[in-house]
Amino acid sequence: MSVLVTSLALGSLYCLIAVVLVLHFKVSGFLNIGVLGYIALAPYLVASFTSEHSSIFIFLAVCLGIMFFISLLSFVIDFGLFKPISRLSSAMKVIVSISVLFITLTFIDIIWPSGANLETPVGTKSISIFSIDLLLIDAITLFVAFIVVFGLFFILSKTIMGNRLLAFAQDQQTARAYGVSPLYVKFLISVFTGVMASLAGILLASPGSPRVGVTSVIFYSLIALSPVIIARHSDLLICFISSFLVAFVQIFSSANINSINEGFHGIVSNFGLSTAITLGPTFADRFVPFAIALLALIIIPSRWIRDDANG
Amino acid sequence: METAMSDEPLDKAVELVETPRETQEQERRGIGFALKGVEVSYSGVQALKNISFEISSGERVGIIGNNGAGKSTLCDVISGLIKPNVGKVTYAQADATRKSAIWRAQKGMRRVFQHPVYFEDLSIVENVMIGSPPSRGDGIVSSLLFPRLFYKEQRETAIRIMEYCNIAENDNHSGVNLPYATKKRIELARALMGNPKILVLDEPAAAMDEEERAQYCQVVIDYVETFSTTLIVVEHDVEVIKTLCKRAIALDAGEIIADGEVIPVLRNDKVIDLYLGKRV
Ligand SMILES: Nc1ncnc2c1ncn2[C@@H]1O[C@H](COP(=O)(O)OP(=O)(O)OP(=O)(O)O)[C@@H](O)[C@H]1O
Ligand SMILES: [Mg+2]
Repeated sequence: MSVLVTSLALGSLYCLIAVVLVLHFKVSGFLNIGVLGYIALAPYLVASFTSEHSSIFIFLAVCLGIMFFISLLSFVIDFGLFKPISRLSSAMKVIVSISVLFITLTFIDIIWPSGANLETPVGTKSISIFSIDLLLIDAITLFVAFIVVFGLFFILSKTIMGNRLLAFAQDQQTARAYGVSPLYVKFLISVFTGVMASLAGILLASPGSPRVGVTSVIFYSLIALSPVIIARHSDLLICFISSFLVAFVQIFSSANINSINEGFHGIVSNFGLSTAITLGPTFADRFVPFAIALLALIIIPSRWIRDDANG
Repeated sequence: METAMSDEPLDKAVELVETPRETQEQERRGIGFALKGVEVSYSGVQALKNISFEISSGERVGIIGNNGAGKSTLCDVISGLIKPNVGKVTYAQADATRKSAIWRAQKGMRRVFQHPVYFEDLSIVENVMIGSPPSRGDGIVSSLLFPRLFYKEQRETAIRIMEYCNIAENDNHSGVNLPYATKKRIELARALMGNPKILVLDEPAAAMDEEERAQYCQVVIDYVETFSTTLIVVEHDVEVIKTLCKRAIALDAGEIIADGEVIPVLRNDKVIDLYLGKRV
C-alpha cells in the first residue's frame, strides 16, 4: 500500500515536470532541459527565506513569491536569451539548454556552497485516511499536483486562452494571422513554468520519503525525462499516464530490490555461471526509468502519438 | 441547404449580431489599404516586383495569375506575415509597413489560407473561436484571472457563424477526417468570427464542387455586402472572381499586368495569353 501511495505522489511530481517540458517543446520546438534548473533552484530559494519556525502563511507567501520569480526568470531566459539562437537547429538548442542547466547548477553551488536545508511546516507528520497511514507531505503532493495538472488540462481544453496556446503550438504562422500574439503565448508558458516548476521542486525537496533533500531534486527531475521520452515529447495525455507508470515501477523495484537480486542471481546460475554483481538502488532509480522509456520507444507505434510540433 | 443557388440574397449576416444593424455596420465597415512599390524576394527568387495599388474601403478585388505568379506572397504582404524588402504598406492611411500580423489582425485583417489549417487539438467550434477578436477583454492578466469570462458568449457566436457558413459537421468529427471543402468553410467561419474589415481569401474555392462553390460564394457576398467589408480574392476560377469582385488585378511573374474592372481585365490580351498558355 505504501508503495502505491509513494509512487502516486512521486508520479504526480514527474507529471508536473514532464508536462512543463512538453509545453515548452510544443511552443519552442525543442526539449528545453534548462527548465530543470528552475526546479532545482526553487527549493534553495524557499530554504533561504524560511526556517523551521516560519508559520504556514509565511511559507506559502514565500512559495508564491518564488513562483512569480521563476515565471519571470523563465520568460527572460527561455524566450529572451533563446531568441538570438532561434535560427539554430533544435538539436543545437537542446545542447544550449543543457548548458543553461549546468550554469544554473553552478550558480546554486556558488550561492549555497554548503547546501541548504528545507524545513516545511508539514515536516514528516503523518495522517491516517480510511485507516491508511500516510505521510502528510505525500497527501499534499498528490492533492496539489492533481489540482495543478487538471487545472492545466482544463485551461488548455476549455478556455479561449488555452485554445490559442494549442493553436499557436500547431501552426505559428496561421495563429499569428488570426491575432494570436507570440508574446501572449510565451507569457502563458512562463507562468505555467513558474507555477509548476516551483511546486515540483519544493515538493520534491520537502522532507519525507522518497525524497532526500534539496540536492537530489535535480536527479529526480532528470528521471522525469523518461515520461517525456515515452510521450515522444508531444502528447500530454501519454505523458501524464507514463509519469505514474515510471514512478510506480521505480518505487516498486526499489522496495523489492532483494527479491530482484535473488531472481537475477537465479537466472545467472541457470546458465551455470555465478556473479558477484548486486543490484543496488542505482538499478531502481537510474536503470529502470530509462529502460521503460527505451522499451516504450520500441513497442509503442509512433502513429499512436501525434507529433504536432513544428520546429 | 437543399438548393445551393437561389437568386434572392441570403441577408442572414445581420442575424449574426445582436446590436442594432446601423451601429454594427458603422463599426464593421471595411477599411482601405494601399501598397506602394512593394518588392519581395525569397533568397534569390524575386516573388513580387514593384507592386503598387490602392484599394478603397469596401472594394472587392480579385487577384488572378498563373501558378507561382506571387499571389499568395501578395496575401502574405497584405496580412503582415511577410515584410516587403522594399516599398510601403498603408492601412487606412496609416503606415503599416513594419507593423506585425498581430497588429493588422487587431485592425480587422482576416485571412483564409490557400491550404486550410485545421487545429487538430481543438474541436470544430473551438477552431472557429480561435478567430475571435483578440482585444476583447481577454488581455493576459484578465484571462488568467477569469479564464472563462467570454467563453460561452463566443461559443454561441461561433455556432451561429458556423450555421451561417453551412458547416453541418458537428463536434464529434475529428479534424483528420474532415473533407477538404469543410476545412475551407471552417477557415471562412474562423475569419468571419473576427469581424473582418479586410477579408483576404486565398483560393477559397479550390477543390470544391459546383454546388459547394456557389454556396460558398453566396455566403461571402452576403457578408461583405452587409458590412461593406473590403474583400480580396485570389482565385483561378474566373466565375468566382466574376461573382465576388468588381475589380481584378492580374499578376504575372511578380508583376501587375492588368488592373481594372473585372471584364476588361479578363479580356486583356496579356491575360488571355496567360490563361490560354500561349505565352512562352
Ligand atoms: N517560402 C518560400 N521560399 C522560397 N520561395 C518561395 C517561397 N514561397 C513562394 N516562393 C516562390 O515565390 C514565387 C511566388 O509564390 P506564390 O506562392 O506567391 O505563388 P502563387 O501565385 O500563390 O502560386 P499558386 O497559384 O501555386 O498558389 C514562386 O516562384 C515560389 O516558388
Ligand atoms: Mg498561392
